Amino acid sequence: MSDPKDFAALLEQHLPFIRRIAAKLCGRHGLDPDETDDFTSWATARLVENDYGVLRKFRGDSALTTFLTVVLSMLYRDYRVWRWGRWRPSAEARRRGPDATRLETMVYRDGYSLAQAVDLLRSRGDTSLSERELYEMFGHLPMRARGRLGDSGDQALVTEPSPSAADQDLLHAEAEAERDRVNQVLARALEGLPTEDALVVRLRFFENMSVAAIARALELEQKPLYRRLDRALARMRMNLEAAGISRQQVAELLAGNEK
Amino acid sequence: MDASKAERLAALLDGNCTERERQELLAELAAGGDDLEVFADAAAVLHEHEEEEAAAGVIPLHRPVREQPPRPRWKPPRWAKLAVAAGLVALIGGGLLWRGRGTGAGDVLALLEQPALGVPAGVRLKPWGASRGDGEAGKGRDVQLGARLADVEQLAGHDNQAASAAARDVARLLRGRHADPVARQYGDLASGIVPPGGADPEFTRRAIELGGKAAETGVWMEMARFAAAREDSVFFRSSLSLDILNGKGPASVFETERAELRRIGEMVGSEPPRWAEVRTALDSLLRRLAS
Repeated sequence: MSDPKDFAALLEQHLPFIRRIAAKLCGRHGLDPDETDDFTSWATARLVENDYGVLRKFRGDSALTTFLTVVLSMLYRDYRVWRWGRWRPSAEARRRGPDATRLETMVYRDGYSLAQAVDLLRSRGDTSLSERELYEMFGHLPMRARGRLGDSGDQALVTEPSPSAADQDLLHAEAEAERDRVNQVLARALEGLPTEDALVVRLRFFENMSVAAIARALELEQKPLYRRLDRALARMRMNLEAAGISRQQVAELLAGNEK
Repeated sequence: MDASKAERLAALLDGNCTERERQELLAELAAGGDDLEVFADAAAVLHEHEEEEAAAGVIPLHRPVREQPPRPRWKPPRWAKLAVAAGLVALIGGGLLWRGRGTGAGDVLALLEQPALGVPAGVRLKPWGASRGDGEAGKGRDVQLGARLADVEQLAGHDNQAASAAARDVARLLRGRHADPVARQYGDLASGIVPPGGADPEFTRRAIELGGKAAETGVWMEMARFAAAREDSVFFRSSLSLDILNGKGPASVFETERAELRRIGEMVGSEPPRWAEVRTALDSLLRRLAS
């Protein structure tokens, strides 16, 4: 297949799949419907450019749909950098799920006040959580540099906190310093695990993947993977406590894996 | 956008890597970084997509359907020459064992986990003849076992009658080999509906173990026949296929067939591949090995 018409037809044939995967990716990262449309158009244009250069490079080492899914994930990363610089939802927000990701994105990337973000999420029907639950959830998220309301480009990454966020920032500052220390210890604890175990923990803990999805991705049996994850977490817990992380902090850190 | 990296990650997600490639990629991902996020995103949305498709009855849950890719960079003459050269080196070095780049039972099991596409038109199942194998022992019987294990997996979800017949053969070929639970599993499949995902992978693995290298050979031969019928060059470019075509298959099974295997490799590597000859040669080879 070398005729551009062939690649155009191939792309056309897979457009519904591309749109569907793009929407899922955007949902995972807390993008709203307009942003999702924008990303889908942008990504499709990238697939067409250079005479369908990406499709031409496909050698057939995987299913084409799998290849397209990875390509879209890479393009999403590029798109995010293009739109918002290196901003991405925190591991904590992703671990807590789409509500936390959306809330964090609205406050820290788009510059809404916490009250505005909570109101918007609830009025748009984007969440089933109560106002109080959303406030509590936000309290667990790490402090980030704030964006300015209405910014959509790199300007959203202003480093000065908005006045409305000052109180929240003060509340978070101490916890943030402690979180940095814990994260460093956590990274060292991960390095102490066998390669595959470390990856499984990262995918479960930092990337908020379900055990079923991890099992599928790594071609592992699902049931033994639960036990394996438990063993890896027990080992990490021991290392973290030995490094001076309190039992409560450890429990909080690893809570997402023990649900 | 690194398309080559994307394809490596996609191959990992589809289980199409060699063990060495897999370990390299896992180590890279375990170290964290941007690729981990890409991999996690792709894996998570793909899993979600597959579950939705399966729930809607579109495809079986276990694996996406492998599609025929465009192959603009495919240059058969070059790899064919390399393959033959590598085969000669292996022969000169006396390396007539099934080894190479970590290939072996794991790769054969991976073959059995390929998406079930059904048996292509024109392929005659059991080319050794319906009556062969009864009461037989030894290499031929185990080659049949491997071939019929492949049939069960490929027919599952496509032709239940033929899948059940294949499962019945597997149960029969396993009988009397201290393999009662495994034989029972295939017996159960034979008397009911073979699920779209095929047999339980653990029982399949055990059946292959019982049949040893000859069963592994049978699996590859059967899958090679299907690939030839589909004119799927990709199958013959896998490290497992290259090892076998280069004479690194198990000596106990292929000792008299290496020249024929090299000839098949040349046919696949010619421009264009001589598929009709490949099909005939593979049928003939399986008939000999399974007898």
